[in-house]
Amino acid sequence: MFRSHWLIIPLQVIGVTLVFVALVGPILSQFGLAWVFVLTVAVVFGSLAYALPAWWYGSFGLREDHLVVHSGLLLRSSREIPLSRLQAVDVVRPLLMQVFGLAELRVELAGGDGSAIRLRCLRWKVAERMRVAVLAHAAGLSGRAPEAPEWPFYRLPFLLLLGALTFRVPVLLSFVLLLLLLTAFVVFLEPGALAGAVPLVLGLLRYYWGPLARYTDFYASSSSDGLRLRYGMFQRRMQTVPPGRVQAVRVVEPLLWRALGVARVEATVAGYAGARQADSTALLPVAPRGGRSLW
Amino acid sequence: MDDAFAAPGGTDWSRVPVALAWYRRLVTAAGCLAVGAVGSLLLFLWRGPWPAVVWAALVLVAAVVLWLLAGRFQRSWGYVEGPAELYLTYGVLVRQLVVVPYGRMQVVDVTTDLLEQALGIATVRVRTAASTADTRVVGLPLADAVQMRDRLAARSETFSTGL
Repeated sequence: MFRSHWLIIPLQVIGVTLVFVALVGPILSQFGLAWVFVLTVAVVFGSLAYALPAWWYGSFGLREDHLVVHSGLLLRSSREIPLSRLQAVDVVRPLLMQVFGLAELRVELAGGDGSAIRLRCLRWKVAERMRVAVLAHAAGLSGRAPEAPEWPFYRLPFLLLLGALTFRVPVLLSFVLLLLLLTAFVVFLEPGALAGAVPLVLGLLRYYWGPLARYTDFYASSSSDGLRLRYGMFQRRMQTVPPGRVQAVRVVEPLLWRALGVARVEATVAGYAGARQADSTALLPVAPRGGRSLW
Repeated sequence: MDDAFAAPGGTDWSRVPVALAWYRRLVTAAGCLAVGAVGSLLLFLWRGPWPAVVWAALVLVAAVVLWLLAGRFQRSWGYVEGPAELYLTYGVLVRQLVVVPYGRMQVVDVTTDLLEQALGIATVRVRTAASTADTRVVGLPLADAVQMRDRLAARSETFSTGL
């Protein structure tokens, strides 16, 4: 049986403390800083007292071809997952975890929102080994099987991604509108123009910067254990979708992309439910139109 | 009426232990205590003593009814591990019978919270691809629950169909 890396404890404690200080701190500071300090120390020790045994009792491992995960302290749970049922396996490395050499392993199952297995804070090598073993079991091989060889077939150049993301009607329109508002602000010194710019900037962050940061450095390769996608600027992800798990494939061509001759290929995989559905369905965010023959 | 909720041919429902009834009783007692105390206090402060007494009496009646119903609720639970499906029945006011083919099970969970741990029982939860339907066998003794989890997980492999 394996256990998460011990760094998960300080990370959890720091997270809880930061949330506490940010939410309750402003209210408490009316009573004086001493109260804030005392209660913060109490929260640090309280979360430590919970996180330490929770980390110690949580474990996971492979038993024959089942993945067994024990977790929780007050609400203890143990799950057993027949690995032939898994829909996709992701290795996710947010920026902070990359600094410490950690990764998160996500096993997506078809049981809806609550059924994804998230193994947080694993040492990167352990996460990779688990992924290989899990996929091997899912394909009916023994866990000791070496990693399946892979053949890279598509690499998304950054300039193509940047160009394609820019070259869309809503994005272009909002850029033009933003420029108009900024000139109006500079020329007339009208603060109302800035207020109008705020939703535009938020929209651009969501629909322009979001996909740009997410799909930077995108590689797709095929291997015998499934499609493998690697991408991400700050949060590196490696997604593996075993063969036969794609329920539907969709090719989307926004208006201006037709002139460029590119398209977006999306897939529906049963595992990604709820909030994660939109995240994880893009098989190829931007691909030359001929590329869809690959699927 | 009872035919519709009878166990599948030639078997009897496996019932769950009385601990489940005590679990429900303790939970409803704690809930009613909290609702009654807080409600009475607020009514006492705002409207005077009589509404507070009426509220407390109403909550007490509800608590007694739920206390008595807990036993029937516990007896209404039953499950049968059939050759290819798991049968499950529960409910007092709305009776239900759920059939889950082993081949459709995606994940098998065992969960137990603090009170359940104290009573030595656990909940086995079976997830299928239909994300809304949530099939649970509650109140099994912990050892039985673990064995049942292993059996179900093993069978879901054997009867694998699609998805």
